[in-house]
Amino acid sequence: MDQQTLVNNGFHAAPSWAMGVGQLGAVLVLVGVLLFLTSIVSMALGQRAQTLGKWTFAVGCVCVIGAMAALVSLFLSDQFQFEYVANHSWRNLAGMYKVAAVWSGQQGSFLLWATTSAVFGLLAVWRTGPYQRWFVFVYALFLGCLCGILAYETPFSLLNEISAGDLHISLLLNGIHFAPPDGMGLTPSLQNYWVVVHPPTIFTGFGSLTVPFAFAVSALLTGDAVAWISRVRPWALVSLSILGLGLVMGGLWAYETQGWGGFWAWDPVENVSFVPWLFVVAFIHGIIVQTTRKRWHGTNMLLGGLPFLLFVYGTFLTRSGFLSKFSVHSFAEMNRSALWILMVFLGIMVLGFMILWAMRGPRLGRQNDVPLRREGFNRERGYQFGVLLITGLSTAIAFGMSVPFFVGLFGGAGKVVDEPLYHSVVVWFYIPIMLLVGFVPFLSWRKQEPGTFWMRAINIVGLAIGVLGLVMIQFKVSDYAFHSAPLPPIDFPFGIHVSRFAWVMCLFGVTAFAGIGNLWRLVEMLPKSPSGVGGFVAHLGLAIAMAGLILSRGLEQKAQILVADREPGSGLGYKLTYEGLTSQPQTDRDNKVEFDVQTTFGQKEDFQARPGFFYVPGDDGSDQAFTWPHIQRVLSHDVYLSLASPITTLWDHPPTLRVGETKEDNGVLVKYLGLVRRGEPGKDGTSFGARIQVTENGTTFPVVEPKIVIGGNPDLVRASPNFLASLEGINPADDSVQIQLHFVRTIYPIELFYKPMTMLVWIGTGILTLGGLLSAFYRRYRRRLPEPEDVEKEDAPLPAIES
Amino acid sequence: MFTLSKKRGFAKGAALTAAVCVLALAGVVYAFIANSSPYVTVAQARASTADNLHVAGDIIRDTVHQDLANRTLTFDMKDETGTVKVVYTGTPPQNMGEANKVVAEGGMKDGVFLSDKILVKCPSKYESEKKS
Repeated sequence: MDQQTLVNNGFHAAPSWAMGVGQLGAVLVLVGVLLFLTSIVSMALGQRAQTLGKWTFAVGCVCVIGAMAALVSLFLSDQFQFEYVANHSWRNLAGMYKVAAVWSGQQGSFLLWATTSAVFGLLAVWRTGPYQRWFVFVYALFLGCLCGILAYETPFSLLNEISAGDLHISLLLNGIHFAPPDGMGLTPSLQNYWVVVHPPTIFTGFGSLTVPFAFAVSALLTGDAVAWISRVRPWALVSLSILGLGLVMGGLWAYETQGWGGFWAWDPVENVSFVPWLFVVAFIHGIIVQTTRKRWHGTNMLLGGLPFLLFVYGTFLTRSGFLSKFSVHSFAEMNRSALWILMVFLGIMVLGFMILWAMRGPRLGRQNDVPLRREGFNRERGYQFGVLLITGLSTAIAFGMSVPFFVGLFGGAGKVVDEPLYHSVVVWFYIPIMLLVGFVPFLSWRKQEPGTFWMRAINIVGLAIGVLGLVMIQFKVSDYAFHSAPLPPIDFPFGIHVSRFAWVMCLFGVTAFAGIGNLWRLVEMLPKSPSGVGGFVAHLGLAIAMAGLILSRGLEQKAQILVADREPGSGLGYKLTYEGLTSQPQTDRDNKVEFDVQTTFGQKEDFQARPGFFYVPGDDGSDQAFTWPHIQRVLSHDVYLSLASPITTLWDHPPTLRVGETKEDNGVLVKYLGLVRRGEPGKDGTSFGARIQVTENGTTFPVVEPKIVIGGNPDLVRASPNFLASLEGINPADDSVQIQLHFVRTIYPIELFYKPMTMLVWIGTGILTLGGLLSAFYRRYRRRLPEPEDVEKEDAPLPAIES
Repeated sequence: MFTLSKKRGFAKGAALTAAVCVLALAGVVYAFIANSSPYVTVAQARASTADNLHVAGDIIRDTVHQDLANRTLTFDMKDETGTVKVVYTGTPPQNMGEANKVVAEGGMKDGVFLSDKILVKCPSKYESEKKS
C-alpha cells in the first residue's frame, strides 16, 4: 500500500508535536523509574543523602503527573496514531468523554492510580518530620514499581499497522507515521457523566491510601509509634471521605445507568474498593483511641498499613485475569512483565509488612500504651469490639471476592460468590456493628455511671421500636400495600425460611436504633461542643443511608411489562402508554422513548417516563440497542423503569421454510406456498418472491409476496394487521426460503421496579459526607503541639497521666 | 500495679477473643466455600439438583424463541459436553441480540435449565482483543 492510498482513505501524517508528546510521556515514565530508584538508594544510605532522596522523589512524582498530562493532551487532540487512544476514543466524542476515555482502559487506569498517588506523595512528603527517610523510601518503592508496570503496560505505544481481514497495512511509510482517520470510540455504556467524575474520585481515594501505609511502615522502622498519628490523621480522614465518596458515586452510577435497579452488586471490582475503605474506618477509630486514651499504639500501625495492602491485593486479583470470567466488568489481560512486577511488589510488601509488624508492633505497643485503668465495659471496649467486627467484615468480603482465586489455586473448578450469599454472611457483622454504633457513643471513656447509661439506652430502644412500628404500619396501610405482591422468603441455614418483610424490618429496626442513638447524642452535644459532633453526624448519615438501601432493595417489587403503540401495558398499579420517540434517526444518543404513566390505584402520581434508547451500528451490520433507565423519584419511593432491547421481529433468527410448510410462533402462523422467479438467475435485477400467508388470532390474511432483488435489499410487505414480512434468504436447491416477520409496532419490554424509601439513600449519603467533612475540618493537622483538641470535647479532658 | 490475677484475667480475655475470632472466620470461610455458586459444564448441570449453577456455553441461534405471552426466552445452549434447553425468565440483557457466548445462572427443573440471570460475554468492538 502506498502513501497516496492511505491519504485517499483518510489517513494523515501524524503531527510531529504529538509524536513528541507521546515520546515525552513514555520517557517521563522511564525517568520516573530512575528517579525513584535513586531516591530509594539515597534513603537506604541514610541521613547523608536524605536531601537528594527527597528531591528525586518529588521530581519523580512530577514526572508521573507530567506523563498523565501528556496522555490527556493526546486524547483531547485525537492522536489516533497511538494505539491506546485509537482503541478508546474517537473524533466525535464530546470533550468530557474524551477525558473519561483516558481511564477507560487498563493502561490509563494504572497511570491514573500512579498520578493520584504521586499527587498525595508530593503533598504529604513535606510534613513527614522524623519519618521522612522511611516514608520516602516506601513511597518511592511503590511509585517506582508502578512506573515499571507502566513501562510495560504503556498507553504511549504507537499503532504500527492496522488489519483489514487478512490484510496488514503498515502505517510507517518513508519515515512518516500515518494516523488512522478515527478511533474505535468509547463504549456507549461509559458515555455518562458518572464516568467522568467517579473514576478520578475513587482513584484519588486509592492514591491516598499510600500515605497511611508509608507512615505506618516509617513508624515501625523508626520505632516512634506516637508522633505519626497526628501527622497521618488528616490523610486518613481524606482517604475515608474521598474513597467513601467514590464508593457512593459508584453505587449511584450503577443505579442511574445500569438498569438492574440496585446500587451494589458485590462485584469483585466494587469489593476491591470497599474492603480498603472498611479498614480505613477501623483505622480512624483506632486513631481516636490512641489520641484520647494513649493506647492501641501497636494495633494502629497494623490498621494504618492494611488498607493499602488490601487494595494492591485487590488490584492484582482483578487485573491479573483470574476473575475476568466471573465479573461483569471486562478486563484486558495484563502484560506478563507488568503482572510480575505487581506480584513481586505485592508479595514483598505483604510479607515484609507483616513480618516487620509482628517483630516490632506488639512490643512498641506495650512500651507506649498507657495501662488500662478501668475494668468493665467502657467506651474503649466498645471501640475494640467495633474495630474487631469491622475488620472481620472486611476480611470476610475480601475472602468472598477471593473464592474463585483460591478455589482455582487448589485446582478446583470455578466458583463464585453471588449477591445472596454475601448478604447472608455480611448480615452477621452488620447487626452487631449497628448495635455498637447506637450505644457506644453513650459510654464514657473513663467512669461509667450505669444508671444514666441504662436510662438512655432504654429510651433509645423504646424510640427505635416506636419508629419501627410507625414504618411497619406505613408499609401495611399506604400505597405500598397496594403495590405489594407476596415477597419471596429469605433462606437461612438449616432450612429455615423467614418472611422477607419480617427480616427486613428486623434489619431496619437495628439500623433505626443506631440512627436514633446518634441523633440523641448529636442533640445533647451540639450546645456543648459544636465542632466535635462530626462523628455523630456521620453515623446518623450511615444509618439513614443503610435504612434506604435495606428498604429499597429488601422490599422492592418488580414486574415485566410489554408496551407497544396503542397497546398499553400494566404492572404494579401503573399503566404505561407509548407516546413516541423524541428523535429520528434512532442512532441519536439523546433519543428518548416517551411513555405516559398513570396510576391505577392508590395515590395519584401520573408522570411521563423518558428512558433513553438508541442503536449503535455493530461490527457485523446488525445494530446493538443501548438503553438508559428512567427513575421517577417520589418522597416515599422510586419508580424505576428499565427498558430492554425493543422487540422488532417475531423470530430472533429467520426460520427456514420448505414449500408447503407452516411455522408457528406466539400464536402467529406463516405458510409458505412457493417461490416466484422473475428474470435470469444470477443476474443483477433478477427478483425472487416468496408467496406466504399469515394467520393471526385465527384470522387468515391474503397471500402476499415479499421479494428479494439480486443486488438489492429485501423489501417489507404488509402481511397482516400486525406484521410486515420479508424474504431474508433462498436456497435454490429445494426452493426453501428464510422468512422474517416484523412487528408493525415495535414492542418495548420494560422491567418496572417499585423501590420504597430510596430517597433515604441520597439523604443519608449527604449527611454522611457532611459528617466526614466536619470531622476532617475539626481534626485537621495543626502545628501546635500538644493538641488540646485531641481530647474528645464531649467528655471531660483526660487528666494528666498518673502512674 | 497489676496483680497477678488481673494479668491472668487479661490474658484469658485476649485468648477468648482470639478463639472467637478464629471460629468466626472459619465459619465465614466455610460458608463462602460451601455455598458459592459453581461453574459447571452442561453435562454436570444436567446431573445436578442445585439451583445456583453457572453454565457457560454458546447460544444456538436458530433455537432462540421469545414467548411474548409468558415473558420467557428459550434457547438451546451447548458446550463440549452437550446441549441443554434454557428457559430464561428475566429481562434479556441489552447486548443479548449479538451475543454468542453467555453464562446462564440457575438450575435444572423438569428437564430444562431454568435461569433468571444471564451474563453476556459479547465480542464488543470497543474492547481490543489482541494483546501480546
